[in-house]
Amino acid sequence: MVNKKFALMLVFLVLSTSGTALTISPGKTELDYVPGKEYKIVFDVANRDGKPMDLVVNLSGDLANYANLSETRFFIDADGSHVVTAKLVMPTLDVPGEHSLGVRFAEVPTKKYGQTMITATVAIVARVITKIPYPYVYAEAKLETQKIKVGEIEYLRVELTSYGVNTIEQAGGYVDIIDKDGVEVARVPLTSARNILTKQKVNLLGEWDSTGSNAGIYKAIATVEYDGKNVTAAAAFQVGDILLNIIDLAPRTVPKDAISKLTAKVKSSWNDVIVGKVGLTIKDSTGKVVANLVSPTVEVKPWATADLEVYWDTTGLGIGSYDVEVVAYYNDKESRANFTASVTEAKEGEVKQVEVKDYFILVGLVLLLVILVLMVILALLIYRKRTKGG
Amino acid sequence: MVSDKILAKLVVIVIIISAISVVTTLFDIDRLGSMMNVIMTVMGYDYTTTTTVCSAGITVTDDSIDFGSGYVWANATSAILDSSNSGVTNGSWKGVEDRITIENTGTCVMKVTVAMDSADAEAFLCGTGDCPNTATAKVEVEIDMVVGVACTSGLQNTYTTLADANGKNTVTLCGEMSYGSGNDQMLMSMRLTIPYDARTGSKSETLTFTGTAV
Repeated sequence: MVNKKFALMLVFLVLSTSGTALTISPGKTELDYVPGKEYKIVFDVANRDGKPMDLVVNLSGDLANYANLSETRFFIDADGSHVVTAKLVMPTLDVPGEHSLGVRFAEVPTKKYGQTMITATVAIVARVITKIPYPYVYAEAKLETQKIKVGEIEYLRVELTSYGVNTIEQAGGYVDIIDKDGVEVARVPLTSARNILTKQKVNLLGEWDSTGSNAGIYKAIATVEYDGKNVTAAAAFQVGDILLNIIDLAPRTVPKDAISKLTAKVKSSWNDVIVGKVGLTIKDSTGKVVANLVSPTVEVKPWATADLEVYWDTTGLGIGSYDVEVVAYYNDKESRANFTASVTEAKEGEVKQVEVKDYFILVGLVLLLVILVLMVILALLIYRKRTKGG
Repeated sequence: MVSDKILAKLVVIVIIISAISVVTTLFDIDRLGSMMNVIMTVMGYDYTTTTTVCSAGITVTDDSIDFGSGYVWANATSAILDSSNSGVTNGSWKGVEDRITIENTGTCVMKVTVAMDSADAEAFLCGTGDCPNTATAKVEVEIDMVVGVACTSGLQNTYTTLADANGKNTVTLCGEMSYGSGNDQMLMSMRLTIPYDARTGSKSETLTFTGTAV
């Protein structure tokens, strides 16, 4: 049997994360594969935080047994930096492909006894890699894209690197542009390249004209064919800017000494869901702020409009016009619009026109009233019965 | 009488000592090694054969997710608190909408993971001795807001278990996180399942966000 007594216990949760920031340079290093050669990699560790940081360093990966560190724990002052050196003697490796050494710099959390908190700490794994050529033709591809405006050209660059012993005689391919719904909107041909030597990098280029396309996030998938094989690479890119337009505020006339619902209508110009809310700052004719109102957060579907509601209490405000600044907050961005609203004399029956959102409260009040009336009737009946009986 | 030669030697020694002092004061002595590396490489010596691809940086901001205080309803076995939408199920908590922001501040594409310090969700939420009558404690995470194309592959955009009553996981929040202004931030929400038999009092935990250059 469940002991429900425990259910009344209070659980207090403050999940507190102090901001924390760490930078390691280099974050990724490529070494030539030369067995027996000693490499020295110097890591510059920067604490970009306003507080001191205690750090531990350790190694991982299949090259970890052939490496050592100049130190494994150190302290950095606020906004300070430190240098750690890793030495690696390249072993003889038989397996073709990528071999790596991971150098993990991890912040040691500061214990704060007696405080209710979740502390966020950061760690960065800097990678040192070497690649042993495959005993046949083999290539890896990397696709680069950039953010463009609607109507501009998206320049696509595929960096193809030969990691095979044999020379690649010919390489070429295409890039598929795919929209948010997974629909292919274009296939862009790439330039070709010939006679690619071991470890040589070549660029295969393509262009996509975004004229007529909607703003939003697109995916590009490059397929490169070389000497009977193929390799793919993917990247996402943004066309235009994410935008939530504020298109209306209604009503613009509200009664004095009442609580009125104001609805800000917003429209998405984006191909994905936007999560956002609006804030209203209402000022009187002298510029004095008389109300700051915030709506609940809502999800606005792609290209759709949505109504965001706030409630304005005009009790004590004078009759006249007020400046309303509406700010939409979404995805780390803001958009603004200004309106004028009027407070007018309340018509009969309009005063304290409270729009109760929770109808259960209304139902409860009505039920309470009915019960009270019934009790009064019952009391009267009992009284009359006793009076008659007497 | 001191000769001119001795005086000249003393002057040279003083100049050398001063120069060394200036160099060691201006630069961290530990950096001299890397400076020599650069100088030797520039001069054409094959001291190390390395190619720096990028620098790696990660920042976690947002000061708090304050769920406040509350209790599990008497007729329920657990309460659920969701910081993505201020949702509260079966509990008296007020509800809060808040997120932790993760930013890629370097120039490497990064795989970003998060892990919890405690052994399991009970060690965090239930306190000493765990929850004696239940095994429902759970901590879940998701990325529910992404700025631009901050994550190009492997986005964890639904709640997944970071820890439950039996253990914990390392959750990959994004397989390939981009860098560069406007495309470098993700916001993480948390959902907690608090059993009715959780001990009263404050709860502490450490989350470690790890960025690995890919």
